[in-house]
Amino acid sequence: MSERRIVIDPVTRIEGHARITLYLNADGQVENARFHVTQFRAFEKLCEGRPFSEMPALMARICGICPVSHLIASAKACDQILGTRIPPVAVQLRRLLNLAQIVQSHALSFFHLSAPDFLLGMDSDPARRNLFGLIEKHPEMARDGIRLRKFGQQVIERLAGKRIHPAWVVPGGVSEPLAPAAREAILAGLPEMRAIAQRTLVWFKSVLHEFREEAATFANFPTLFLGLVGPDGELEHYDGQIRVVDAAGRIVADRLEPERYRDYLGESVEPDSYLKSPYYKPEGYPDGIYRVGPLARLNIADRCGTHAADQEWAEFRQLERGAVLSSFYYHYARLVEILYALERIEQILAEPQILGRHVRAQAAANHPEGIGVAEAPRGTLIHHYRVDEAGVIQWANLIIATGHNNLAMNRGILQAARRFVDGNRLSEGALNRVEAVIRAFDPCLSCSTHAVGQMALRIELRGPEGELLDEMSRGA
Amino acid sequence: MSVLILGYGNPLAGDDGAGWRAAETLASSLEQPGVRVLTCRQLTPELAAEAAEASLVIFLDASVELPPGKVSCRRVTPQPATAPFSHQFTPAALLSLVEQLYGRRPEAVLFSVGARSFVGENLSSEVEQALPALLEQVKELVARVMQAGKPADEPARSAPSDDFFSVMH
Repeated sequence: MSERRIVIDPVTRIEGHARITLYLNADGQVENARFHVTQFRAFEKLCEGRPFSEMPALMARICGICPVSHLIASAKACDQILGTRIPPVAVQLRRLLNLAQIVQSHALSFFHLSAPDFLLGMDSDPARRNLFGLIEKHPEMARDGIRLRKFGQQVIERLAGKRIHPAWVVPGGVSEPLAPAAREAILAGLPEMRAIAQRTLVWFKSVLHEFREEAATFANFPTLFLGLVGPDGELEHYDGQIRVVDAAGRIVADRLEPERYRDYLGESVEPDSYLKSPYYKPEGYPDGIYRVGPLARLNIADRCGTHAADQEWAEFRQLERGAVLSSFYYHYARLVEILYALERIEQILAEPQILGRHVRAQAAANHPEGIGVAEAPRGTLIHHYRVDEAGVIQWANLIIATGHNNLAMNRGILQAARRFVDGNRLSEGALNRVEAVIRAFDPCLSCSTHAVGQMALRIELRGPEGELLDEMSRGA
Repeated sequence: MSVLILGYGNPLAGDDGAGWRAAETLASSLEQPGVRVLTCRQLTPELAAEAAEASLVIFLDASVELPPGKVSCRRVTPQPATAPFSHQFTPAALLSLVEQLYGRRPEAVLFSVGARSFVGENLSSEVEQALPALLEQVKELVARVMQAGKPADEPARSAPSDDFFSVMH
């Protein structure tokens, strides 16, 4: 490995603490890249000794942006410990909550964090390339983003009582049924939200050609794609079974039981990062690289299962003959998923039994182990617990979406850095593109990030003897 | 006439949760049409949409600049954010967003209580003792504006008279 390095430190959008190292050869060209997550959360250890019934509320604290995802995966694991089938109404209510979470989280990623790049330009003044610059230049787009995010949060609030860290999802179901007034209020807001999602899709598709280079170089390479699909191969976020497809779009494995994830997923640990690197076991490490999240979900599904989203999905899949490979298209996939989520919310609210009162099954701990798997906004989320006879947690393992994508993010920054970074002279636009690769994956950053629209970071360019050749910093 | 009360801070970080705790208490004692109470850990851009629907926004927060337990109240006017950092999103910056995005300028006041400790889930004794006075001031302001019917049903575009906020000391 070469000794010349460019270090981006910190990168604030992965759990708050991360850095990127670009290794240069003697000619100043990027030879390798590493993405280091330097923060240790320790949730798997600190929950040991707690009653399993506390786990959903405890695990929701992992993140302030996607607490609902952890709540749901955790509650599903606890359902298995109870050994009970939760009431069908509760399944649909949890599904609603998860869809609302996807709407608000995807809206945050697309409108607040990434739209400044699309609308103001990758090379635009970094001081204005953020949400505030977006508001100034494109207030209508900023308003749309705010409306969508607010809607998603309001649905969560109407269902679960509060927007962040709700305690409504419990082992065995949910704590309260859906109120008729809440149902009506959510339904009333849907037409406007659908209009926002559809006009944003129209706009984004119209500007895609301006980002050909980014699409070509932002983690654009063959990998596997993994996620949940429904019984008929449709898009699924709450239940279902695991499907794996390859870069050609061929199904490599199907109907894998999520509870048997350890049979087909390995977890590698790298010495320079606290973020695990899961891989698909049959292909080994690191060849078993795969991606999860919106791009993967649209690649593995046979269809979305709702009218307008199905049309958008079909058009999306026309981008390539096999699977859509460029991670730049995560942004596009997010918009399709927002539309799908809004349509699906309407479908579920139209079900006559959705106001049913039986929403929770009661039981004690009946099984020593529980595994909960759901699709979070950023990808497949796995919670796995073991308890003793009293229901006290003895061991836990979590695989979070950002981890699944770790290998691909590493390879992605290398690809973009090789294309855009000149090791002898740093440019802000090149630096922003390296960031933007990470941003496309939308790693679970919002619980800890402090920046809106741009990372606070410092890059140092050092020679073979460690001498400082150039440096650039911005933000705090 | 509509009042939005926004209590913000982290209830798991000692006195930082003072605004949150105050808002939670007010949510039950100020249950009336036209008054909405929200709690949040920090101010975020999407709250602009909520604030745009209000005639008066009351922010409740802890302060490190005041002596522990001291309550202060001041009017807030729109001021664009100086740095693009979400954790430094101020009431003035939020109001600026409301103005930029929705063309509205609700009246706004910030009630602050001086904090001493940011550890644990409990408030310090100073803040705990100060809360009743803070709550009374907020209730008095809300009662005054609701009774006066000002600002009007439509979000205010011009500043009301100083007398309107005479509850603020």
